[in-house]
Amino acid sequence: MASLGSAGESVAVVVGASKLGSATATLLAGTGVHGSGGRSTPTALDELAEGIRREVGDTTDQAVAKTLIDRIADEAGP
Amino acid sequence: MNSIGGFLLGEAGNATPEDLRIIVDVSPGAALWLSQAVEPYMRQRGSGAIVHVPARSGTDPTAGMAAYSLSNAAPSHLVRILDLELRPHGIRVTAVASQLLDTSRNRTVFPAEVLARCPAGSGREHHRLPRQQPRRTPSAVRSCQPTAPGPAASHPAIFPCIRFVLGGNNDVIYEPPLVPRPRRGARRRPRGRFAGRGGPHRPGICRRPARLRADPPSALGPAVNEQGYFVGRVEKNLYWVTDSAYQAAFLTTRDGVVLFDAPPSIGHNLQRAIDQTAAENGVSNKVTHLVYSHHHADHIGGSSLFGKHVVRIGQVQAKQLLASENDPARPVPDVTFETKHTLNVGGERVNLAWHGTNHTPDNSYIHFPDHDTLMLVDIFLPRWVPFDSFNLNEDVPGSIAAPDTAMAYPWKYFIGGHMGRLGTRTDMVLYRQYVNDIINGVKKALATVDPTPYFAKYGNNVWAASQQYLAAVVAYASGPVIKKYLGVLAAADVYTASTTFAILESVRLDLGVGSQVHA
Repeated sequence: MASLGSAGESVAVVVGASKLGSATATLLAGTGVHGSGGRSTPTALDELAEGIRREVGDTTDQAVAKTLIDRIADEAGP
Repeated sequence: MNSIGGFLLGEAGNATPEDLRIIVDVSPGAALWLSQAVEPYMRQRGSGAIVHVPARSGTDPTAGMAAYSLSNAAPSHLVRILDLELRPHGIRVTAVASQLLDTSRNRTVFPAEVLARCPAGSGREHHRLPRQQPRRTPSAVRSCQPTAPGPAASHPAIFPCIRFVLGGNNDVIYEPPLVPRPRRGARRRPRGRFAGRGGPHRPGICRRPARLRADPPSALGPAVNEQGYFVGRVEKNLYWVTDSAYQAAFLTTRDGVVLFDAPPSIGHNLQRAIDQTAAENGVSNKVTHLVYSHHHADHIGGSSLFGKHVVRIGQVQAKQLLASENDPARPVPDVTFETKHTLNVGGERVNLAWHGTNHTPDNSYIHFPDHDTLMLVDIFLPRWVPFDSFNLNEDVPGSIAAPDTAMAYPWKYFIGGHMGRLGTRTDMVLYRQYVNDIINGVKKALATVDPTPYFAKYGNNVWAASQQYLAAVVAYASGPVIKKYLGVLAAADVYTASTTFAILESVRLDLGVGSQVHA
């Protein structure tokens, strides 16, 4: 199992990346946190700042939520 | 951080299984599955933070959005559960509950002033999930997230792991629409042009104010004793008694005691207070006279405790009203007056006067010219805003004018009949300013808030349109007043909105402001 970020490194997953979500992701990215913005539809993700990874998925589905997090963990982990 | 959620208007009586299923899938569903998915990684790491963003309606019951509120209650509770389960593993779980957001949907319902300081919305939201759409498709899971984190301030946390962000005016929780309610004394026959004028209430609403403490502390008077009362000297041989909610007064004379009002909440403590004072000063403790400020039971419902041989004095309409109400706890006055009466007892004098209807048709001014004191009940409550719906005043214009009449008397001390402290002339000036601010706010709101969208939205349901429009006017008018007087007049956040509604209706109906003549 991958971890969400290596030791001393933080990863934020922001789900529901409308403006509140994107603003949160941008704020966290500015503090050095690696950000991932997730949304069910791709539209708002286009407006995310550089350096924030985009994901699209329906997190009301248990399987999709798990797959999404697992994928982020795999890639962001050590 | 998870800010997914849906928005769905509708009362509990109209909710459908589909409504509930969809919105539960979207809000608590996503919160649970995401928490479940991320938890193993955080456990492995021994640290982590999960933040969910439900709506405030999940913690404060709100009418008109049953399924939505339920869907937000679930993640709020989920956060508490997760906090218990995950805190031992170094994982912090928090909810940030938003109050009101500036979304495209809310712009059609709330006035711009209310939304002015809300977190801004993108206007892209789809708040109502189309029923014909299949569940769990990406297009069916559009959320109504607030967008840019505006200047809304955080509210002190009520639950350890839930913090509130109030949209709009941080001090104002947008109150639901106001509708007239029958007065507590609705059994009484209607009287005059103010008949049927009742205060507003919001059916089915649990009205929790933004603050619950009395602020400023100076609004609170002296502490009561173990028996639940405080008695203090106003000036010379005039005393006041309070249980911190109600007040009475008494004057010791060489021939006995004159009591002014007998609130049942103080009850037998009135005689105890008199006994205590009489013993300390070596005077008679026998109550010989009882003056009624007005006929309401909450101020004279303890009258019968003083027996049949006390001389009771009241305005002539008090006698008429008490006779019709036939309450054995409130015997009718033996002595009445129409406009003026000077009571002389044991070398002391008290001037009673009636200057027209205000709180009630019989409410009287009780002036103690030798004690620099005026007693006028249920008009002005020093350092507190009026009770619900402008003190439930039967005559709003008369009640607005009453402080001016009161200020025309010479006095230094004021007995208002309620709460735990006496008033000063400065207090009354402040109170008049508060009322004037509401009046000015109402006039501005009537000139600013456009009723058209409400009537366009609700079509033939004129009451629904009126309700929503007037609620918007109240919010527009009361918001700045609440903000101005928080910490100045106690409970400004509790009753200003309902008082604003009462004054709004008077401004509209008595003064004719906002009336529109059909072209």
